[in-house]
Amino acid sequence: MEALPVLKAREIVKTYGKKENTFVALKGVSLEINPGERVAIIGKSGSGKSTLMHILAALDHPDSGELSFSGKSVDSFSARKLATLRNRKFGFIFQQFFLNYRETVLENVMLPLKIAGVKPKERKRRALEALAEVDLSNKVKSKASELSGGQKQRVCIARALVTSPKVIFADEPTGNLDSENGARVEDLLFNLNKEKEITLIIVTHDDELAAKCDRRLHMKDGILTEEGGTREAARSTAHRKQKLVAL
Amino acid sequence: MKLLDLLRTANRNLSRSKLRTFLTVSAIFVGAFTLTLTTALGSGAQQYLDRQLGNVSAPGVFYVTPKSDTNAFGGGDDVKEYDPNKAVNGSQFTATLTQADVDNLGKVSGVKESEPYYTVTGTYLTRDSAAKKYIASGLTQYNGLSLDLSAGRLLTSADKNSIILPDNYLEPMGFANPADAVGKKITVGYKNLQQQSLAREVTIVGVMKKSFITQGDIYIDNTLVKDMATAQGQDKRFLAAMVTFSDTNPASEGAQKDALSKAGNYSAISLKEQIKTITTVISAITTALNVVGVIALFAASFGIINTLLMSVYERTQEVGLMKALGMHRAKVFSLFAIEAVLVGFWGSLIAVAAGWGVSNLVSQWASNAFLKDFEGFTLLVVTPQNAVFVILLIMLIAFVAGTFPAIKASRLNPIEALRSE
Repeated sequence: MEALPVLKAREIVKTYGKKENTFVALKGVSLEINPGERVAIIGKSGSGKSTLMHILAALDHPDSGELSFSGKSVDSFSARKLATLRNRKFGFIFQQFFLNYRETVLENVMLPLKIAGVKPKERKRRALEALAEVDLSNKVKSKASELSGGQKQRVCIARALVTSPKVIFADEPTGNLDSENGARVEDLLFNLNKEKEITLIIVTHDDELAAKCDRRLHMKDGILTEEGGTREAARSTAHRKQKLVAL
Repeated sequence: MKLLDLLRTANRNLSRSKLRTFLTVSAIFVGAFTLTLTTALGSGAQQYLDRQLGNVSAPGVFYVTPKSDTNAFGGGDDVKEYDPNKAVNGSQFTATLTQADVDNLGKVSGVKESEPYYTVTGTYLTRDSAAKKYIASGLTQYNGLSLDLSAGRLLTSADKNSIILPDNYLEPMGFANPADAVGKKITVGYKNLQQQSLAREVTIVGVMKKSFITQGDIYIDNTLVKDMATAQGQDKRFLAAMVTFSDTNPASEGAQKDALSKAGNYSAISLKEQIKTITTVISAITTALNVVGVIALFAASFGIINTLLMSVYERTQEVGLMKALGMHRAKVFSLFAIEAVLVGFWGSLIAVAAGWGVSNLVSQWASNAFLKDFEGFTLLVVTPQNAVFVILLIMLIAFVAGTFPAIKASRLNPIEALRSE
């Protein structure tokens, strides 16, 4: 039995600006991402890859097109429901980390649980677990500002991980890191993908990182131009193309 | 996010920018402090009045006067026709009541007692052992006020030849203290129509504290006042009648007043209403002062708007992150609104505490200075109700001021917010 795709997008169009200044960021993008896949979205800056990620992550609304999560359309979701979806099912990792530097590592990791309304004791337990996972148990009480770049990104991974999400979206996760720290972050992400079967969607222009993914989605001028990846991924692509032909 | 977490987060955000929070709280403080003191002034005056006459209100007791004819004289050029039922009193043309009116009022249903309210003039008070006589122009029929007594008791209708002495007469008349005077006999002097001096020995049943309500009044019982009125020719016509109902429920006062007014061409006024005139003046003054406090708060509320707006701009990224991580718009709104309310809460709490301290100091000083003659008058009283009222009002104002920045924060687009540097 084939599992439902965790994310499915159909003919997504997104335009920015008004009247003469309009810029079409996405010109009808369709794709499916299966549970446990690791997918790289690559392309030059301005190609629409970030916009695509934002729409897949329910951070932004498409102008037209359909988006579903685990077979359920989210098009009719209220802002509140979308926020809950992001909180419960998605984890986010950003190039610029977006940590609260005035607070401790633990508090930063607990934030998504605090937003979810989890009780303080449970919050702390789960955050400590997540921090152990990224090997930062010794930095729990440190201020986020006292950490190195690699450590900061590992805190972000712990924060993304703490809600046990189905999908982690990583926007240039190694962009601000040296190669050693970058490699460590990559390993962590891929381990999570393997061991916890968390779907990974990575926006990057690092070809080496992209090469380690199952599939690579190339964005160019708002269009998904080509897909490359493992045989399994190719099969699903072929499957999709067949379906399109059948239509 | 749970309410407790919102509160904690809001408090932490405030303490993060200490100077800015301090300045905003200070602005609130000024308004709240003003408001605390003005309400304290109102309460002080009110408390004093209540003590002076207060429970006074003697429900069920009315002064009934003939309905005044405002056009009786003055004003227009019309010459008025002579009315034998109206007394010509000096330059005033004032209607008076007769015994028939008093009896008539006594027949109104529910009335227990209807008595004339005599106007008498005393000349002096003296103690047998003391050679000196002291002016007693304030001799007045006791009207049922529950006076602020320092010793003894109030007058009853059974009393004969009895008097309540104001405490400023104690020393001149040689009494060591209020209790010493109670039960002692003194002499009241007055003149009859023929300007002959008469004297009557009376017993002091109580000593009352002087107050600005009772002014120089010296209260004597009904029997004595009637004797004096007869001697002074004031026993046929009266300026007013004192009517007492058996029903003393304050709620029935309206109906009782109507019944009296309908009994003839009368207008009735309860003791409570008389006192109201005084309280109205005081509340007008305190209201004016309160307006000043509220204006100060209004200015301070712009401080709150400004502070929070700055905070929203400063924390754009943080808000964006929280929204990306699934914080609902309503919770973002609550977070900023709570920050505003907290600023109001801390500002007003400190202001009320400071106002309480200052009130005590000022009142103490005032009682020994310009309020020396007003015994028992605490100038500024911060009551718990006023404190709570001031704090709640300011929290409300702060909330209203906070809504604009809070809405702004709640509408931030997470992506744009995260992109901003």
